[in-house]
Amino acid sequence: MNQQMGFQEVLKKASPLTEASYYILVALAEPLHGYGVMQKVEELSLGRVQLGPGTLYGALSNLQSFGLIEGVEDAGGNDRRKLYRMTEAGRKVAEHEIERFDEMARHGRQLLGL
Amino acid sequence: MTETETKQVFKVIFAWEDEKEEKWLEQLASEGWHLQWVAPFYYTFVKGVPEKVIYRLDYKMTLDKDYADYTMIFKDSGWELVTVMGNWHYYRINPSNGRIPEIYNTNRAKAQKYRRLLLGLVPFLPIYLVIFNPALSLFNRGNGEEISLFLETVQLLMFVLILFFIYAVVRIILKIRKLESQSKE
Repeated sequence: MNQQMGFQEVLKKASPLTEASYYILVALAEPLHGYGVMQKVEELSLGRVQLGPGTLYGALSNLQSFGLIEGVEDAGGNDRRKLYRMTEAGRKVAEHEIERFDEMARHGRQLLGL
Repeated sequence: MTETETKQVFKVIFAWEDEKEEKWLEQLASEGWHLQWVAPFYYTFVKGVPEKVIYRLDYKMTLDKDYADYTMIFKDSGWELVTVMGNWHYYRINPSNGRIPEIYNTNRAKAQKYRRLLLGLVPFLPIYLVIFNPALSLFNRGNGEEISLFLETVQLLMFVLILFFIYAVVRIILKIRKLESQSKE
């Protein structure tokens, strides 16, 4: 993970997030395992955002290498599935992205007179 | 016990032709021949009911630390891991309600697969250049003519193999470029 990397640097590398990465990141506001993320995103977007396992795995490992999400130590139980959750840096990046989307939407509405 | 009917097929398909390979496996499944296992260029099929099955190949190093998590994600989302050859993973799924499932939803995500493939292939080149080739040359000193000829033949074969290997790397790089230029961002 990139603790030594400054937040601005992380932001520069990670933003703009792809649609898949953005949805995965915000889904991990609560700890979930890979398939849980897939289900949550599909449910949330009413099936519009489909995450194939290859896409999901790739995005999870990218987000993890940027330090935006982390693995959670398992509290026991029989489930060997790895749990992920958003980090502090991940939350900041997500907030930054949300502001960016808001601004984009506002500009679009302004110019189209909506 | 009922005898299961199998057949073996020798077929030369290269690493950059994985989509062609997927289509071929789907074609055979629709004829009732379902993939059982794969050795290099050598495929074993078992006879069953003709079915519409989707095959997808993925490249992932089995020695990676997160390998268990990787396979779990595929399993949970309904993909059956049929067999693994080298680091190539052969997955299949039965399409439901007419939709063709994909393991990668964007070209950009798919390009990552070929990047992993490159990382898996490239270490072979220094192994050849730094270890194998000098070792052969060293052995070749002060040997009889026959052994010398044999070693030179091996060296020549290896050289041809390396040329082919470089060609494969170039093909894969071109594929990554194409996928990344087609991605919408």
